Amino acid sequence: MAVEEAKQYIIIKLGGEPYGIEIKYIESIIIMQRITRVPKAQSYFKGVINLRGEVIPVMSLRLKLGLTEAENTSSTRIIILKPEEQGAPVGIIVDEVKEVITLANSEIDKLGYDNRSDKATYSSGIGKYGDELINILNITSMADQERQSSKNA
Amino acid sequence: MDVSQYLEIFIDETKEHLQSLNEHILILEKEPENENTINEIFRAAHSLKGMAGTMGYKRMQRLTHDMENVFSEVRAGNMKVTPDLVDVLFRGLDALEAYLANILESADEGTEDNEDIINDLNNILKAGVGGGIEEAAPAAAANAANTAAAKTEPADKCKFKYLKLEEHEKNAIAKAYEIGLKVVGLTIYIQEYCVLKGARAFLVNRALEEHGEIIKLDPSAQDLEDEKYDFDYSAFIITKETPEALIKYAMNVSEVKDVVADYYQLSEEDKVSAASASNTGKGQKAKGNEVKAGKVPAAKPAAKPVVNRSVRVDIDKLDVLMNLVSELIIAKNGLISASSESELMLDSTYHEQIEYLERITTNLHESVMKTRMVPIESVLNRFPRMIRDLNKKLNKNMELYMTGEDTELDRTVIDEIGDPLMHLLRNAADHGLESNEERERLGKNPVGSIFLDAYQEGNNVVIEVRDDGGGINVEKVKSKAVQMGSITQEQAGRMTDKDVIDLLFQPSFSTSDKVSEISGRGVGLDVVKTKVEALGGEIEAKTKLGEGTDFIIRLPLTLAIIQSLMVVVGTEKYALPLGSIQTVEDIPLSDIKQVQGKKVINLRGNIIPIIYLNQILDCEKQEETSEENPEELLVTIVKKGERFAGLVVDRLLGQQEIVIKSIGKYIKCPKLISGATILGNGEVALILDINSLV
Repeated sequence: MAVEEAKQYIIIKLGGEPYGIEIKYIESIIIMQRITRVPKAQSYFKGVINLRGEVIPVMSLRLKLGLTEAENTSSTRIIILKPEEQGAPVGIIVDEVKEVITLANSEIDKLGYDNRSDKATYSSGIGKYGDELINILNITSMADQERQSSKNA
Repeated sequence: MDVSQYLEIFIDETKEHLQSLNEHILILEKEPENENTINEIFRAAHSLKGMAGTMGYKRMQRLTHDMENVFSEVRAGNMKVTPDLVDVLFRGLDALEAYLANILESADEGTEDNEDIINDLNNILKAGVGGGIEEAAPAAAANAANTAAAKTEPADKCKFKYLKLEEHEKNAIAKAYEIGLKVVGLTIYIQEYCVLKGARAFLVNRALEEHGEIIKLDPSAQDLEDEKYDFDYSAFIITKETPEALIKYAMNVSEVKDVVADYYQLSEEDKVSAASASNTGKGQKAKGNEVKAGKVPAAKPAAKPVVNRSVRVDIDKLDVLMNLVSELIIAKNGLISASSESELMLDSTYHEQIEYLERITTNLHESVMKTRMVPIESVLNRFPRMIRDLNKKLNKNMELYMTGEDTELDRTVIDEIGDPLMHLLRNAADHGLESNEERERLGKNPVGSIFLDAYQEGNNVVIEVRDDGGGINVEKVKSKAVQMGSITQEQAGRMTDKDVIDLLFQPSFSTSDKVSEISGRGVGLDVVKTKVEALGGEIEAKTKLGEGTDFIIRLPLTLAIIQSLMVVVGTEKYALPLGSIQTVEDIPLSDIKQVQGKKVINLRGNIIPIIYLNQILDCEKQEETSEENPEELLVTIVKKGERFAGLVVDRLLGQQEIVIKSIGKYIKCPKLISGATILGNGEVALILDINSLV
């Protein structure tokens, strides 16, 4: 039998709930920065930051996923993502970054197609890691949606 | 033969030659007798033919060859320039451009033979030249060439005789004679106007190598390829062929002016054979001239020596350089803000050094910017031809007058501005100018005029496209707009003429009653406006009924780095482009008036609307200031085109050089933000777009 395909994920937490992000999308993880507000932008976009001379837009993952906003704590992090290899980076604010895990594809359950709520488009499946169930975020579809909405604006 | 390394040069040079042909044929159409122009055309056509041949583009070579034939007859005075001829020539140029486009795409010229153009050319040639003259002319020219060549020829052209040979080369020569082979020395003269000298030498050498072994080249093969030689070089070849035969082979390569050759003997060799060899040499020289006369039917005037002290640089490399300069300026701003926060500020040497650095970075930025600047001519030079074609297509007589072709713009702007300008010119030709009869009836000069003026104004480059046609009928635009439902009858009544003209820039708005091939489909001015604004510029129109229309485009000189005024609104910092700021005023609250629900001020006779930036930008209230209720407002007066506005800000931070950065495609960027910049302390500040605010 062929070796089962497995991928690495970074586990983050939002309001105590674990989420997974495939490691290939992640450019870097930085501590909270001073964010410059961009007026009239989407409400979940907190603004732009300066990362080593580049201006990068940053959104609150909590607001994006319809959760309530939380106070920034010492464990709050900004994860810089690159949804496409050559594309522009975008930052997301998360409550906490936990660890890196490896999940085989068989350990991830795909969600049913009938589930068309917003959350479903952001999720590419549920991973089982020990006792925990981890919501795997679908980074590319999130990015595509952002591009659409900013174009229509 | 591998010519790919020459492809880029070939494409560049071909473009230049085609452009020069275009220009000169236009002149020729007006002044059929202009001798200089005819010479210039002939030269360009000939170089084109040579280059196409070198690169192996046979079809292109054939077409240019036939065009060159026509030019050569015209030059010899055997043919007159007729409108028909000019038309065919232009068709030929279009075909050449099509070849070039194919080559650009696939390095292949394509398969279109353009037989019809070649036939037309040959028919004209036959019709234009009587049989008798045809024969006499080349002969006369050949004679002239012969005498000219004889006069200019130096006493001894066999330069190879004076070359010093290395020991091993002498050995090789001695060996060659031992086994019954001959050694021939050659000096090859290339035409002075030859543009690909390196490739040419390569071709000659290749032709020679088919008949023997080249043992020495002077200058070396590498230098020849790098064009590090004047117009002649020498070669020694071990061969069975006679010098005469070798000369023939070498002369078969085009753009070779002359070849002299002789058997080469080592000095220790028998003196008798050396003498006989020199005899053959003399006979040979005469023969060489004959060959030359046959090949090149007319002596060409020596090309003017062009002192060209420039290099071609890939635009990407300049972009990298520009980015580095941007980084340097950010770093410099960082130093300044770091020093102002510490005690270093008190140290005068440190301060001096910072100022020195500032001067250098500003100069550096300017120099890099200048290297990216290209004269706008490269865009404008295709327009005379376009207007000529429109002349025929629209059946309107018109003239294009251009000034300021040497005005320089950033390369990226140059690449983008061509299409908008073409739109405007077509508009002017099609809609702007009346028909010839109409003009005559109105007592105007029946030939319409279109003006294109480019000039620099402060930090902007202005390009005006003007016509002396009928102008825009404001009432007609209004009724059309009402009819299309873009505005209501009531709105139309309130609109000023300027507002009405702005309607023209809206998508899908055309006043032309009929759609023509040239323009009038309603996609035009809005596209022009979008393009110009994408380049950071602006466009406005002025018109006078019966007298003409004037479109004015203003473009910034530079795109990446600008001078700005940093202001504080609420708790946030924003950058305003300094170019659009007129003045900064303290306005007493009592001076602010309400007119039609809008707040305005009367500043030295101008009524200026007031914009509260903190409201537009949804800023939080500023933390308690010293004055609870300030009696004065700090107002920055900005100008866009002819319009003014006053922006209310809380505080000024001062002037700063900033680097414009995009804020990315994910975030929904409101129109009033044109980008972001990084301040000295690492903070990000947004840049306000004055165009969308006013």
